[in-house]
Amino acid sequence: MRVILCGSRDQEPQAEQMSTLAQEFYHFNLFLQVVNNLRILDSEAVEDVLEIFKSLLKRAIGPRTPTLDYISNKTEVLFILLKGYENHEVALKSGLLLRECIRYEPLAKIILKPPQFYDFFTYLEMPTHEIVSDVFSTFKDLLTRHKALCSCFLEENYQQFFSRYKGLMDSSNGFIKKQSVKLLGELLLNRHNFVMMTRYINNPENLKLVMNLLRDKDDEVQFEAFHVFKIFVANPNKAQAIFDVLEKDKNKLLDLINQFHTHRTEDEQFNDEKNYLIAQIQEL
Amino acid sequence: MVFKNPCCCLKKSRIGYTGSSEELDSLPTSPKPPEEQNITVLPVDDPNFMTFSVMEVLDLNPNPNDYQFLGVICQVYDGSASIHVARHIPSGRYISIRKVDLDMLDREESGLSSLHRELSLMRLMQHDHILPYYCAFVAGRELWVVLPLMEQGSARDLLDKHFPDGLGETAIALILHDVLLALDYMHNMGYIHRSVKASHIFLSRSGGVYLSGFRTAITMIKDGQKLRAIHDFPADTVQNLHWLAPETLEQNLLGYDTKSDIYSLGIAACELANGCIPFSDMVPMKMLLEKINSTTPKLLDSVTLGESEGETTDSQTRRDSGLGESSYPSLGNEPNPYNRQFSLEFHDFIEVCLRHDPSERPSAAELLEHDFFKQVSTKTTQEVLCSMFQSVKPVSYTPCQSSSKDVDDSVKTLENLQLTDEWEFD
Repeated sequence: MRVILCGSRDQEPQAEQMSTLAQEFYHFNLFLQVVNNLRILDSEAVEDVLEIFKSLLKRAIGPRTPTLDYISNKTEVLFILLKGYENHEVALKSGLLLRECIRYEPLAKIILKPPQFYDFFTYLEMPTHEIVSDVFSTFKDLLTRHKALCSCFLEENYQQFFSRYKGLMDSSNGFIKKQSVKLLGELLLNRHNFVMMTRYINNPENLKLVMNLLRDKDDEVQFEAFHVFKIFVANPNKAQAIFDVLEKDKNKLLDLINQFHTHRTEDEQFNDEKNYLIAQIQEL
Repeated sequence: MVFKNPCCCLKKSRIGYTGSSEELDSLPTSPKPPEEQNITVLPVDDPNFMTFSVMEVLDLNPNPNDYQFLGVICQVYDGSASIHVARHIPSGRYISIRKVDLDMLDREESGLSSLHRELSLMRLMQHDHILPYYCAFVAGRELWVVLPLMEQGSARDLLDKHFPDGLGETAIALILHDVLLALDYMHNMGYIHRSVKASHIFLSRSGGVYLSGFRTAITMIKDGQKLRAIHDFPADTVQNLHWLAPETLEQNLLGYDTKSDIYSLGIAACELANGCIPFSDMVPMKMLLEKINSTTPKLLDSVTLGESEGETTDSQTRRDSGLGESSYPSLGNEPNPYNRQFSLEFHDFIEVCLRHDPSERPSAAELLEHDFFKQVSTKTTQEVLCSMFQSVKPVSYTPCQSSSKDVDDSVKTLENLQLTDEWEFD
């Protein structure tokens, strides 16, 4: 099958064979068969499956994308892959295939919806690193790849999303903690997420959270928190509540930022931002 | 004239060594003796010493409290990671743990992603001769990767500690055969390893040979198509330059493919046989030129040395037959290259691996059929290597200074001390 779809070393794939095979795939619902049996597939077979998935997903006949249409109607394929994270024997295999699927907006849309999306937060609490890091990269892909889709999702599910997200930034897993603070910075600075960003940076609770992270034990977390904190301060239309929090701790903030990561002398942009923040806070 | 270092007699560039004998004489011929203090050898003879079998599919608990650290074996990846000996407390067995400093990795571009790729690749690759890991989890700011304990360390460690003049031919054939099995498997899956070298070949005391070092591995499959060649120049290759094939280094339009691993294997074979790494006496630029000019390293023995010096040696009749005292050939090699002779098959093996044109090099599968491996019988590989290893010491480690709980606790208390005032939110 792989040879038909991807060609071999000396042979380019044949269009005719490809379409026959694809038809068979739809007809016998082979996608479902495959994702249900990931467990018994060895690594080599998984590589093959991945390639088959890739080329089938890519398939387009004019404006039609038959595989995407097909899976959009058989969403259980995606849900089984997502559930795969719960079983360490298939977690990485499922992750590979799932990430491949969500490269396509129609499929990402299916996963990026409550309640299934909130499973990610549960999976991110698992101890096994290779799974958690795989989950996180899928999570991040979902939230950043399809800009318009994500901003819709974040606006519609703002409350619930951030109440779960807060847990990530307080994770006992240093890796998740740091990566999620970093991702928050990226999400806020994404132009498409402007509405979500305005909402986020006008909530004093969020500011308090970030200010606490500025004093995290881990200086890498502090550093990522700095990049979120600067957005609060740089906001030209601060809400009164934000203003109050900042003003109350004005002197302490100035002290903190003055001494903040003084070892990063070579990072010019960071130092400029630091000076800018000091000026801004002084003016309060 | 007495040659202290086998390299110094090989001035002719076609062998791959240049430089004057004076320069080379000053090179250390044997590794510096390790500092005696605080070094402990793995207690492999202790009846309580038990490890997990490598191929056991284990589901060790990803919980830092399950592991007791015994000591540090070495630092790897520029100090961003270190290898430790540890005991899995619930089972009492010995394992090794690779601690990776995540922050340090994250500062480098693609550091984290290459680590994750390495881990998932190690999970995906299920092969008898590829080093697996049991579990990986984050503990504080470090990632702990729990691996089987390789009592003999890497093949490079073996050379450094015990055999500065190289390993015996039989041992090399056995080791390379297993490495080739692993490479053949990887190549079939469309991966190029890109850093095949002695320090990535790990040896267990029971004679197991395992390929590792997947951080630089790359897939040749892109967008569902298997590429004929790839052009990506491997990142952070400074340590691997000597092993890389000319076409990989050249970075020209032709790119390179799985055959570049075969070249690296040839270099690694020379490394194992000669003890020193071909081209290691050159600056990278010079090495690159030599490789592009089709300079191929050779095995150092009476045949090649005789040719290169343009004189015949009288020691050709003496073969490297080991010490002949044990039933198996010894693991080490005859130190004086003039007094040893590798088989014609081994010379040919090196020659075909190091051919300048990748298309003329055999594939891993073809190499497995090479006459050099006639001496290898897959059934007994492990047994033979195992008996060879019994004569050498396993790896040693620096024991932990004090792993007492008190220290940990006091560090924790200090860490939690709030030196600054709380924010006044309300």
